[in-house]
Amino acid sequence: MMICAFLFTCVAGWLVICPWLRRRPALSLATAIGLSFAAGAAALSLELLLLNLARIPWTRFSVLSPWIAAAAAHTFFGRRLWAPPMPRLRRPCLPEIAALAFSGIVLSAWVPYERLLPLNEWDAIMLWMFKGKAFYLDGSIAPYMSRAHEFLGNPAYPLLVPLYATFLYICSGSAADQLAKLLSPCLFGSLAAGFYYFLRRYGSRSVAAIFTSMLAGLYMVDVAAFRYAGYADTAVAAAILPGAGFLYAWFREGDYADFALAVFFASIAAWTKNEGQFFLAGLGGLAVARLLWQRIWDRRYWFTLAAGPVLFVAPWVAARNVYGVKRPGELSGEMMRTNIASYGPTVKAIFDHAFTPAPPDALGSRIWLFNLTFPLCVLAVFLYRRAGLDQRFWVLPALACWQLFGVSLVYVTGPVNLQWMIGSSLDRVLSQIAPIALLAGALVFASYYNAAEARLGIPVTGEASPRNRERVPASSKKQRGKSRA
Amino acid sequence: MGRAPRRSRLNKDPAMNQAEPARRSLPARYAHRAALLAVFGVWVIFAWPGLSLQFATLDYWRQRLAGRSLEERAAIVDYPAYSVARQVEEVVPPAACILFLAYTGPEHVNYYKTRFDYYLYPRRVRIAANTGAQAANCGYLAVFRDAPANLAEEPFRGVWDEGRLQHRLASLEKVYSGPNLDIYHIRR
Repeated sequence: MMICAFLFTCVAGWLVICPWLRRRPALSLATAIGLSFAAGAAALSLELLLLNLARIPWTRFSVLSPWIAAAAAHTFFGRRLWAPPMPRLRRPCLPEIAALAFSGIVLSAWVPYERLLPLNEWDAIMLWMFKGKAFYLDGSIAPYMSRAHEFLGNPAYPLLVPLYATFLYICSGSAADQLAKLLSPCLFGSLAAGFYYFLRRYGSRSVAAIFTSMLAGLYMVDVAAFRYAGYADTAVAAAILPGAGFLYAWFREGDYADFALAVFFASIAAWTKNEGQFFLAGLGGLAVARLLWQRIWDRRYWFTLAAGPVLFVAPWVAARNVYGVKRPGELSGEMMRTNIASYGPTVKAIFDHAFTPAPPDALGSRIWLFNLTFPLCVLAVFLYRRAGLDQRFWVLPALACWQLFGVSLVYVTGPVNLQWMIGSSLDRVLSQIAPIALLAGALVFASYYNAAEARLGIPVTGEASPRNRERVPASSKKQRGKSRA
Repeated sequence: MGRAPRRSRLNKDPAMNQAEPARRSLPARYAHRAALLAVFGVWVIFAWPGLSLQFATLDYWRQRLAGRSLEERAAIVDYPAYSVARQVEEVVPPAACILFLAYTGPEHVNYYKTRFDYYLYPRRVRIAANTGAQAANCGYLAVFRDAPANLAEEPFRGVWDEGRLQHRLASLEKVYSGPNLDIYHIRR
């Protein structure tokens, strides 16, 4: 039943994003499923919150029926417009085989480990899955919230992961946490699918496959997804990456659907964790800057920019007020002074963790938690022009820097000891940013690779399809007209 | 007549690059493919220590947990919290409150608090490393002694008066007794 719930999540997510995602260039069935899963998890968790605020009890019927009705309506009245892309099987090339082999090795190290160990890690139990279990057993959010002061943990965190776990429990009929913690590996798949999608859209199959397997081999990203299964870090990464990627696509092509998807995924990030709220603010700032700079007054854009955050953030703000949820701990003046004085060392610690390997273990081997992701991103910033990209490329490094700045800000203003906080969470937080940094580097490489392949007379990118060649200029023409108006 | 665009600008457009005559040597023409494989190779080399550590970790846990049921695995990984919580679950009803007097280190008090909250919800769980601790409206009292290995890792630093504890327990009804745990029902 739980497996059906995961499949249902993909269907629900596809129903939500198919109006925008369906016509995106280079979309394949696998990437559509991956992106739909992240969207579906967000939509279903939000649905549970809204049902709870409306005092409608959570049952399989009340939770599933709106989606079944929507799917039926799409089927009968949508003229198959919601049908996902069909898979086209091709013979893999040598780099794809190498990428698949490496990904297979990585997954064979992590998937059995995740399945073998029961739910055990600290934050998964204290912060995320505990709430999911409590909501399920109570059939509501209210009883846990009214007792939140009894528990260690932060009741003010957004509820995507807990409520999605509740959804899985409702579907399975018991609080089966060993199955529910599969949500992190599934979101890891979603992250990889999103990453592959953007590289395939702007690059060749070889580059997309190789860099996606490189992402899969990032040690800390794997740790967050498999060892810390049940945490929210992979969920944030799976929302932040498409948010940044679609914003870049909008900057590059100016298509409204990319803009809508960027705002949608950034709003999901805000509904997942506090870092996601910071990301939404950064993405919103960049979007507003571009809309104003290009004098785009089309109401669709402004409405979307407001609607996404209102839809995903406002219900939780309302619920927090209804249930009187407060953040635990208060920042004392002395602690703030101490933390601000150590801002420099905090920034240094962030750079140390991002750019250098972890200290040697008992056997003397040093592990690169992020491999060469962040150095590659810096290199990309210096080389993007030579690779044929223009200044719109800056969207991705800017968002990565914004998130790094946000991390340092959170640490300095946090109500707990700085060193403890850095030691316990910095690597996990950097694992949320690493996919964007790697995407920046990968896009520069993809651009260089495309140019070299083009010299050999081989078309490579997802942009190159005839359908897309017709559509992109048409939409930009329309947009230019609207801008003038 | 305006100035001709600089060559670097021309190069930014891949379509223009396409028009460039392909007179370069074979290795130069395929350098990008070699570069892709080189980047990948370097990446794999850097990733390998982490992967081999993970394989070793997997092997370790396989030896300890493979072939066991989920309950048994949880009892091993989360020793002794999981088995203690299961015993409490059998004795204490869901709506009740239970006060743990825990003979364990200070950090472990927080650890067991989160574990017992998780496993025993919706029961109300109070925990203290103090034999004199009180909790209003708690119908059950549990005396929990941590495993020796955990105490060796973090010694007990609370208040533990065995004589006073025995005096306190004398008037209570013992409902469960096990290796790490005794549970008492507080009669009103």
